[in-house]
Amino acid sequence: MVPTELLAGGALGAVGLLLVMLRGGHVLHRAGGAIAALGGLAILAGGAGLGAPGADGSGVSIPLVVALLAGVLSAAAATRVISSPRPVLAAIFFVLVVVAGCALYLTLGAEFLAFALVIVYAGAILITYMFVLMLAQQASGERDGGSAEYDRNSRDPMAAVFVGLVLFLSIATVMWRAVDSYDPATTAQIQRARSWIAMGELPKGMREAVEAVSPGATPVPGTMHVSGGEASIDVTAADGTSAHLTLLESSLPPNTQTVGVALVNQFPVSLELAGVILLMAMLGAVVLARRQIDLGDAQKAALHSRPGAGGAE
Amino acid sequence: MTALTSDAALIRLALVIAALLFSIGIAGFLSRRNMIVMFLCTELMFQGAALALIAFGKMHGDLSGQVFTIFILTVAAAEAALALGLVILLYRRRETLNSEAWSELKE
Amino acid sequence: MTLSPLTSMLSGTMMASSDIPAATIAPEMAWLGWALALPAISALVCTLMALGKVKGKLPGWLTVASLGTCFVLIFKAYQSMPEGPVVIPLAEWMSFSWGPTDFHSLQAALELYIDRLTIFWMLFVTGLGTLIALYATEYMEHDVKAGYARFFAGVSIFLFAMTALVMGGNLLLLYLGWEGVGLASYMLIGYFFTRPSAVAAAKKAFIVNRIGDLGLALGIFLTWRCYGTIEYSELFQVTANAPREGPWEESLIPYLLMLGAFGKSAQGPLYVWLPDAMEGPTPVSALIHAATMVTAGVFLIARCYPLFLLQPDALTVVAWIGGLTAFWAATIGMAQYDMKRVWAYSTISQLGYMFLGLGLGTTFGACFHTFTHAFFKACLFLTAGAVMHGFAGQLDIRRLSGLSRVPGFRMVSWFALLGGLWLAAFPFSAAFFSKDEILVAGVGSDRADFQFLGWLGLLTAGLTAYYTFRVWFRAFAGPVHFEPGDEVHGDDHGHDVAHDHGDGHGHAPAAAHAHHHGEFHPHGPRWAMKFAIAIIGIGAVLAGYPAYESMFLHKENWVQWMISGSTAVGGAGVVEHVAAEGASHGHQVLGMSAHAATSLAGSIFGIGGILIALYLHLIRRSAADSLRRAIQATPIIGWIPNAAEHKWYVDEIYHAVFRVPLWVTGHVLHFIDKHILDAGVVDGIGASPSLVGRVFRPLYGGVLQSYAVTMAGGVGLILAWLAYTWLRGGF
Repeated sequence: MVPTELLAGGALGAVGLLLVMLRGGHVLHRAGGAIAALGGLAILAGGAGLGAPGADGSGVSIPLVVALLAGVLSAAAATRVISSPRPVLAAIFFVLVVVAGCALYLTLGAEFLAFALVIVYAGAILITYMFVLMLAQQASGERDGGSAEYDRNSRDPMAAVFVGLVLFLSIATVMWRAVDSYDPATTAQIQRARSWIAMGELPKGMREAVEAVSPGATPVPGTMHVSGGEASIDVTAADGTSAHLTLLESSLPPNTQTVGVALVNQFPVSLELAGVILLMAMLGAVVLARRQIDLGDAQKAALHSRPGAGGAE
Repeated sequence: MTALTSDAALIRLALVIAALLFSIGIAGFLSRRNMIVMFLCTELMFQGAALALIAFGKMHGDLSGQVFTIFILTVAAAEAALALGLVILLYRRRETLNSEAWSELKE
Repeated sequence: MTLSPLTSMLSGTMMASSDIPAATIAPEMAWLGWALALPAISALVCTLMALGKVKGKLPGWLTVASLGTCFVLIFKAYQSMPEGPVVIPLAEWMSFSWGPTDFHSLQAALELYIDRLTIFWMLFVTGLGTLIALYATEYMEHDVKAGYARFFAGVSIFLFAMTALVMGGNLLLLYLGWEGVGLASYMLIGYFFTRPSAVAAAKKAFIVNRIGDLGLALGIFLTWRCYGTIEYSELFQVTANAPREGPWEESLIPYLLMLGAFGKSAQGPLYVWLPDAMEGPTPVSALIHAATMVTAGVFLIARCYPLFLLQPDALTVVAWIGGLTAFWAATIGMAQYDMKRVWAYSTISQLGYMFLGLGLGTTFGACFHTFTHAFFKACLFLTAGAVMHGFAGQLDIRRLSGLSRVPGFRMVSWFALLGGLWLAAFPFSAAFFSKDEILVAGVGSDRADFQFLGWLGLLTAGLTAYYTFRVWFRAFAGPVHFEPGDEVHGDDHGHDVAHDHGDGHGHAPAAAHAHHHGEFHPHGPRWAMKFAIAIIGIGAVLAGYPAYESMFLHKENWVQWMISGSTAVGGAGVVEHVAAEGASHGHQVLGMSAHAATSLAGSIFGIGGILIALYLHLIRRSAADSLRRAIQATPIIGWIPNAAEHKWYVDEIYHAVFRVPLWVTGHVLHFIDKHILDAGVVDGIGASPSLVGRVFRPLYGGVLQSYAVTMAGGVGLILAWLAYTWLRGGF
């Protein structure tokens, strides 16, 4: 029922992860790392289908190799995120996870999101984390022994790893099976058709696509016809005569454009809501920060009136 | 095991990685005691979810997955802003990032 | 003796074959509802007074006034009585209907069903109730500071319940009154609630009555089930047309109703509560024994007679139980020394006659005897109460003698003699005629078993005469001698405290206290008690008037007239069958007509009993003791005197057969409940969550993550199960 690779790899990985988190000692720790790595590799290799190359010999392709490497990097970095005793290192390893994710996005054809991810996560969110870490860690002075007690010792790793394993096996198995229904040819056609329809919303791109087939011709709006991944459109040729053109595949819009069109065309309300969420988050952050300052003022006043009664609340 | 085309293998690999990231994230969230790292682990889980969305989008030739990932980024950013603000507040109260310092829920 | 009027009177029984006329609705007689409302109001006000600790006799006079008004109302109703039965709707009460097209319905309005039987019953219930309450205003005066208001609240509830029972227009109202009477008797018997014996007696009365009440309740349920209505006005129309052979449940109805009647009227195996009921104050005994509670059973059967007529075998059972109870109670009464206790057994015995009459088909005889009995028994109890009142609770006939010569007790003695003569069915007393009506139905019957019961009744009449006059000759006649009762037994009144308040009339406190100093001066009753006794005594005399009237003036017997045209004479065209069996006046007994033979035999038995008592208990009292000793010395029958004195050990047998097993079962169940159910199951179930909680407590340290672990684990398990189901091709 559960694919063997997942079961074996998951079990190995769980044991390894447990050892890594137990902090029993260096040897065990390292051994745990090795076991976890072994398990992770087994999972990834299984996922990539390395055990059974495709019948047409196309089992191994360059994107797959890139994705595999990115997966190894990502899994290893994620393990370090949750096992590193120093929060700063955890944050840096998280950047590594994001970068690996970026590579995976690229192999999956989501170029826009790949870069958005790096910008938003690595550029904005992680920087915020860094600031908070600096605020909290430096002020406490808990860095004496390298890291705080609560950073060195996990709490209840057994339960945590067990829960993680159960979730992993359920989710991964279901998703694994889901791919069995994947039909590349049809999907590619559908994707092309959707891209052409998005193209219909882009007059400039449409003009350029028509130019590419028949220079000087202008498209007649609203006459595009999409069928079987091919698009055709009525045009007015440079000489004023009407014609029906089939557009070239090379004129398909890039990923960024199609995502943009989908975002604005299909999910305008969600887009607005996302804006509202950001606004609320900003307001919330301001409110939290403001209250903090007020509290500080009050504290300061109390300290001024009663010297010697210092300390935080 | 059925034979896979290259694309199918890619998607499956991405999905497995997504599940892995999510599970590691939750394991970390449950076991780490530093509040900041706990939030980092939720970000890991976000990563897993986003990757799964994109992989499924690819599988179905649909852009909704990518659009939804944008929203995930948005929510993650908002969450980071608020959650880290809260962490700072809590830290001011107890001078520690240990999540076990906050155990009033048992009463 | 002119017998023809008596014989012609009986033709009334044959008239009974006529159907009960349909009831007419008479809202204009709603003023009669006050008869129901006044005792209720009085009960309410007395309760408030009891709560408000009202001192003084106000509650008593209030009760007397409201009951007297009731009597006046009833008398007015009697004068303006319509020919047929009348239904007086007072208010909506219960009205349910359900099922397809409201097929089933239960209607029980707050309404009165007035026919001559109702009026007849209410006349003596309210009349005697008023007089007894009047008597009690004086009798209970020493309790003015304690339970006076409480007592009269109980009396009012008693009368209210009895009124609802008798006048109610449906079986549900009857049941309400039935239970109300039980409740009131419980409250009044247990009036001296600090005394364990009174509490035990109250509980006994209540519990024994419950058995009967269960029968009545089931009978009412079945009545509704079989006939579809519990309203009298409809019910008796339905039963008049009911097929002779109904469903089998139908045949149970009279037996269940009978069970209720036996419980309330202390018949058959359920009589044991009544002798103990004298633990209450004497007016309560008078109320219970004479006017209200015990006659409820007779009334129930009389009212539901059409239902009984559908099952003649049920009437045979009633006759047997009644006849045997009459004899049984008389044998016990012969050997008791407590005056009130003798009268209590005589009540059971006389009630036995009434049931015998009902069973023999002469409802007229039963109702007539109820009527006469109400008067003379009230008279006997009130005189006994006067003696008890005057002699510090002394009622033992071995310690009282010659009371008729004690100043202040002359009148009491003569009225006691009157009551005794009536109870003994002395020739030409009222009870003589009423008892005769019953016995003639038995002796003159065609059926051998009824004849036997009739002769048994005659024998019992002799025993009755003997024990009645044993008491009278012992206590009221002979040389003057008395010993005051002890306070423990005397109970009804504490002389030491109660008379200190110097109410300005009657005896001087010094006299009342004298017995503390070695000399006892009994105090006679004052005007209220005397007045009540006198009126009731005169009533007892007058109760025979209908019989004299029919005998000498050749008129229809008034009681006969009151009973005819009511449900008591039946109404289902089968009356001839039973009635003819019960009273075939052409039948010859001992060469004479049944009536002549019964009257003659009854006279002989009665006078014989009195003469024996005269010899043994007045002329040569030592003879009684030597007779007793002689019997005790005889080998085979030597046990009889002691056994009779101990009431044939019925209470002990009940104790062994019912109470002890129940007690043992109760304790066993209690043990099981306490140590197995409570300690094992309940506490075990209670402890298991805490045990489980102890296991999981470390997970819930209040730390957020421990909750998160549980939550995520739960989510993971649910997800795993969903994934498993999906992969197996579920959904």
